Amino acid sequence: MTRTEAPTLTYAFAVCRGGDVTAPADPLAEPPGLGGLPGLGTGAPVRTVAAGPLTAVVQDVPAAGFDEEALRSRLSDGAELERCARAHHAVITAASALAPAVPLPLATVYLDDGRVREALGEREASLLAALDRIAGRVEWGVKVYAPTGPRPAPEASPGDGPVSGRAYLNRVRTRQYGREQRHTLALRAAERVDTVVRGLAVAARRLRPHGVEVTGRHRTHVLNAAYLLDLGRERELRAALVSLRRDETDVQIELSGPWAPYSFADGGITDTAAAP
Amino acid sequence: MTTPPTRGPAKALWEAVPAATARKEAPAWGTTPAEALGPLGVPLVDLLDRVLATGVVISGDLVIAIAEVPLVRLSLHALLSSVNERVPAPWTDSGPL
Repeated sequence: MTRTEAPTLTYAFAVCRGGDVTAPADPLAEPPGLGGLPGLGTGAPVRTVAAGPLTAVVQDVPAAGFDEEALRSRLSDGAELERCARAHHAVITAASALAPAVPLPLATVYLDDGRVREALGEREASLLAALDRIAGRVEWGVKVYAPTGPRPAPEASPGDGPVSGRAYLNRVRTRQYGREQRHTLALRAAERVDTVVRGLAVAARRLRPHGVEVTGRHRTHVLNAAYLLDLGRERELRAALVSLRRDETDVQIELSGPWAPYSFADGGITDTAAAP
Repeated sequence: MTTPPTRGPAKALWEAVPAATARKEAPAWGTTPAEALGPLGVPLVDLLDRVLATGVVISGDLVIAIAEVPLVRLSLHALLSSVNERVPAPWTDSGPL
């Protein structure tokens, strides 16, 4: 390397149990996938940092591109945010395929490997507990939407000539009432969906429903939930979804996954802000 | 009685859901263009729900307020708005009577 060493920071993606992803004595245990990953595309390999019983999956990133100021502008740029999120996710997915891995949030950056070890050391007990909880399990996402498009009432055809003020107000009231009724029905349907899927899961969590800027104006997001399921229950889950879609005709139900257990990794760290 | 796969941990499942399936399953997004699905077949909004809002917060050395994410939410908002501008909603409750 003739390149002069630019100062670097250590970007952390995920935390695994030590022996799971690094076992120097056993070359097969060294993740074949991780080293070959582009990660954030900095040119440095994705590697591991051992910290007692834990191992962090990390990558060196140039300090100039990932200091606080640079990160701020990076994550404010939609395209760059997406690129970072997908890169982050790709590494976590690869790590999860090798061993239970606690995903870290986007843009978890340390000054150096020593700081990574310290941070892991401080959280050792809760990280080990989280690893126990997610082992052999994956996360699934279920979202329920209520269509907002009005069902045109038969008597409300605007083509019937001039409309009196009272008829107009009646129509507004009827539409408002119908809208509230549909929303209530959709919320109840969402609760039924949640109850069924929760029954298959070992843990469940409500995420924030998306606003209209995400869903579009033609539907309302009434449930955004994540469930932690044992591996091997996918078939049951899919069958349950088929059945729910057949029964709950007033709402749209979407399933995503399997995900690395993003939403179930923070046990032991009281996270009141994120709790439902 | 179903026999759960006895293969390794998460790997089997991740492989069992190729991108094509994930796309078919997850997004009935009327408003998400195809390019919002990356090579991994994951809808961006679902991904951001997870990489931003959840996960263990081990405070890094750089304080990017990920737990609050005002900054990132702003940019997410801008990102998704720009996505939706290209696909106007067909009908809304605030449409003409």
